Amino acid sequence: MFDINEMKKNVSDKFNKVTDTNSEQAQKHQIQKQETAIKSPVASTQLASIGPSIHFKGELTGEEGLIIDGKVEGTIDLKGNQLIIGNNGEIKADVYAQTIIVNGSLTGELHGKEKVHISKTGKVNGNIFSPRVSLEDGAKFKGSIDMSETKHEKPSDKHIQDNQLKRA
Amino acid sequence: MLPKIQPALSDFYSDNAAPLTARIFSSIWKNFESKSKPRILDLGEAQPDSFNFYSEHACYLTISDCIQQLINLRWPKGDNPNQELTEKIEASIPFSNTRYDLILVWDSFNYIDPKILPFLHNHLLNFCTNKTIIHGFSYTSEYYPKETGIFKILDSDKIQHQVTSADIIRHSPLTPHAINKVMPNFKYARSVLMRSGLQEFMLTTK
Repeated sequence: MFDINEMKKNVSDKFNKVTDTNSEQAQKHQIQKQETAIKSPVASTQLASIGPSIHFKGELTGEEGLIIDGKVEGTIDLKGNQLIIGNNGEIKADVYAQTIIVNGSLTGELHGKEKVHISKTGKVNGNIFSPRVSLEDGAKFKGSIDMSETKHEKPSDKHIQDNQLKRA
Repeated sequence: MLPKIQPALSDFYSDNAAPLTARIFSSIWKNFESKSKPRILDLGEAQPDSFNFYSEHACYLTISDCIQQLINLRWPKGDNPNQELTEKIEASIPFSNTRYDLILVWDSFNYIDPKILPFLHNHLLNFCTNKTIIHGFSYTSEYYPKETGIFKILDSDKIQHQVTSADIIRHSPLTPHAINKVMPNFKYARSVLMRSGLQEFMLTTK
């Protein structure tokens, strides 16, 4: 015999189970996302990114945080924002940013208005200008460090021209 | 077969070993306290602990990480060995306009070919004032670690020294006389012998 009430009950039970499973999965997913966000500064601050296959030459400027996993040659000016050189990042440039974190390799001058950090996988060949500089065990560094409060901003083109005129 | 050094080197130089009490380094640092920004040239590789120390004292710091390059240098077989050596040393420590107050050579002098040291001396003069001090360590024992150690500055009077190889080699110890001979523009001003047989020394400009 077909019992409509029993069928309704069965359907309702199944629906509840599916909903429970879905909400559990959603919860897990949410927790994973939160954990990732805590572990990775990239996810938490939503930086723009340059992927490993990108090779850029020239002047790179921006007013938001950036993570570079590709190759960049020239100048990077992020003003008051964070720059992260990813593990695959290869930079040959003078860099201006608020905070600079190096996990890959960088050749050039680093101007960190607030801080420069070289992680254990980082390799820097150049000079650092920043009030705070830290490095992890295993990090490679060759160059000079000036921890004074000045010289962290990229000189303007006009300033450069003025200096050239003065020298002339 | 080489005889064992008693006590074992690892008793003196390891992560667990007590840091060296660097009396000379400490006294050099005391003299720098009045300076606003001591300028340091470190020939060794970058060490986080030393970095923290330099940061605390707001130094102007140059890490040249060139010791291994200098040790690997051999007398050139070409027509102009002097020029070739000079160029190689200049490439290891690139020229800059900075004159330094202190040059840290760690234990490198024990391992660099004595024929090469005068060329290093000539190049280092480009970075010196008449008050520049060279600070280093020499082994007084006939046997010492096969490779250069890692030195970490923990505090102005505490330096951690770790050996990177358990192997030892037989070598002529680096005497003050030998150092004076290869570094003619400097004088062996002061030294302190430690329990491990390592001797801390400082050279001042003549």
